[in-house]
Amino acid sequence: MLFPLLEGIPVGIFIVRSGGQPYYANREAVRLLGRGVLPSATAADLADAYDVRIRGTEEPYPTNRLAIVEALAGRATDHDDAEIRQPDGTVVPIQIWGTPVTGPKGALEYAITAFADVSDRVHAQEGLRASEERFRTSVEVLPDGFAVFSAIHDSAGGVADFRYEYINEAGCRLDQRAREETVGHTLVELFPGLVASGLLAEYARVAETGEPLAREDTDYEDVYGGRRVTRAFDIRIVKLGDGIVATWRDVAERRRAEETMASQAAALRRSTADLEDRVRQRTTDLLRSNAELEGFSYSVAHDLRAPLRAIHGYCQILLNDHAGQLDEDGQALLGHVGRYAERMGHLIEGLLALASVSQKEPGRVPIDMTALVESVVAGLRDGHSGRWPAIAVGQLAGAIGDPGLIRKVWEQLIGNAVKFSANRADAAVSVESQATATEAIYHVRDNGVGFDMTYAGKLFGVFQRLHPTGFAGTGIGLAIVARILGHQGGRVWADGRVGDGACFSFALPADSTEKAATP
Amino acid sequence: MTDLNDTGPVEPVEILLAEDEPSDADLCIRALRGKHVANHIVWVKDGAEALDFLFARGRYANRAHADRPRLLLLDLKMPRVDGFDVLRQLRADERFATMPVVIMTSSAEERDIVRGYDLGVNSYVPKPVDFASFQRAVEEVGLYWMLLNKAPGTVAVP
Repeated sequence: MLFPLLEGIPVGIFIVRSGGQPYYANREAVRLLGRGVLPSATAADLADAYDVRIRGTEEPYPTNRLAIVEALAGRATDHDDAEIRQPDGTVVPIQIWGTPVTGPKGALEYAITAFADVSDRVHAQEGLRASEERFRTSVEVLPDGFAVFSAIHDSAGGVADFRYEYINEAGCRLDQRAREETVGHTLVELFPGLVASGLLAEYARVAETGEPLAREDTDYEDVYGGRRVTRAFDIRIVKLGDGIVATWRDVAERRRAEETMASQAAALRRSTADLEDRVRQRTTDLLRSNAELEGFSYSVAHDLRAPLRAIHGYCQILLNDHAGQLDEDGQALLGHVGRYAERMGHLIEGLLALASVSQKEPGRVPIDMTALVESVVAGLRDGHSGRWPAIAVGQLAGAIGDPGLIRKVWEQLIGNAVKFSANRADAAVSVESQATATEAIYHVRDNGVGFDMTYAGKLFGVFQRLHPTGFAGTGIGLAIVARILGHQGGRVWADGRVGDGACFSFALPADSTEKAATP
Repeated sequence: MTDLNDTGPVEPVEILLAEDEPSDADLCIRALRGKHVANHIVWVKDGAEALDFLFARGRYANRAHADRPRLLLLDLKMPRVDGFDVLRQLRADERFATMPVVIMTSSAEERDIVRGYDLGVNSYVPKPVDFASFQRAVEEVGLYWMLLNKAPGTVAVP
């Protein structure tokens, strides 16, 4: 009989009689089914008995599709969609062929099913499908166009055109054409402009030589969405099998962004330049109007002198030469006029001094501050009447400045300290300095009447006086100090408390040559 | 103050005062007279008039040419011709090259002082605002140049 032969083949053979009773199973059939012939089973419950299911699902295989049932009905079948769950849980995908076997008179005698383990093929297919899925998922998420082409050869064997095998979503969007309008069609068919532009020849060269192609910012003119337009693309072409893979990217957006950025940068440059111009213009205007104002105050002050001299002079002449004709009250009144004229004279001299500070180019030389301050103190003392305070002058740091102008600063600050401490028997004034890397800072301290810090900001204004009575002064001295120091690249500030003395400080650029000289 | 000038033709002009400010001129003349420094002082109101007087031209055409003042007190800021121009024109003429000229001005600017001496001024005196100081300055200038100093032109005429 055939059976010994059937035992050796790698295909499961299962035979049932026409009545449906299992008759024979070869060794491979027993292995695949995981069970031997179940004599009690009928054709109708074979799927159940051998746990046959639709491949990849939990569905029992439909009885009417079972090869054995079909064969018993006289039909030959070939199904490749079943799997067997073996008792140990192993799942075996199988392909099943069913064949009815008839006797000499045409009557059905047996139904034979053959089934083969197709695990290898199924696994290979699954692997392929997974890999294809990975590929599709990858290229579908790309923002760039991506397409696979097969080459179309001309009669001479050269590449004449390319056929779309695959195109991703972005590619369809960029080309403004649906996938089904693209795949299967050729490049020349869809984009005739490729021929005229010479791009097709370049693509063909990639397919022929394997040399990849990269084009940046390439202008391309063709019909897109029914309109002839010129677009710009970055294009990459590489050889794949007998064909090419292409990626392309629309750079119009990038161009627009670049142009916008360039125009914004230009606008920014323009407005910056404009702003700088305006600042320059404003500064020039300000300097000019400042200069004009100073020139004006100088000439006003200058022109006020003559009438003032006349008022003062005629008062004096009246008092000197005509006193006899005036009574005592008249003489006193004339004396007042003279004194006020004198006071106004001081104010005018102050204004002139203030204006002249900025009218001359200041010198910038190293100053021996200790010597300068000692000379200022000596000078002040010579011209002083009344109580003279104890003045302590320390060893002072040198600085860079105009000695004549800085002398005025010291005269004013030390003069003030003397003046505003004159009310005390134990009046004391000290002059100290400290040096930083860039500045020399000086302090003139007294223990006099001091001032209210609320008004510290007013100290350095023109005609600002914090002591209206009891102290002589024009209210312009500290304004001159501030002006001089401003012109010398320095600064000035003050600390004080009412009844508790004042400390005036100023800073000048340090004398960098001094360090080497002193230990 | 309107008629500060002496009208007497007899005495030679001793001091010519060029000053555009009447009050300054008045105070100056009063100070000079007060110390009896000079008897005959002529006041001119600007530089042009000062030159007309000295060169005996215009309204001073009939003035004796040789009658040269012993001292010119010269303001700087004057209308028409300023003090520097007067000084320059005088020093360019040999008759006035050695005439004592004292600038009396409100300007104490270094620049003006230097320019004055460059142009050959004999003294430069800033006018103080304070009358007492002004008086003293004018008196001292008058005393020095009129009584103590011997100018070349005056030696010949005892």
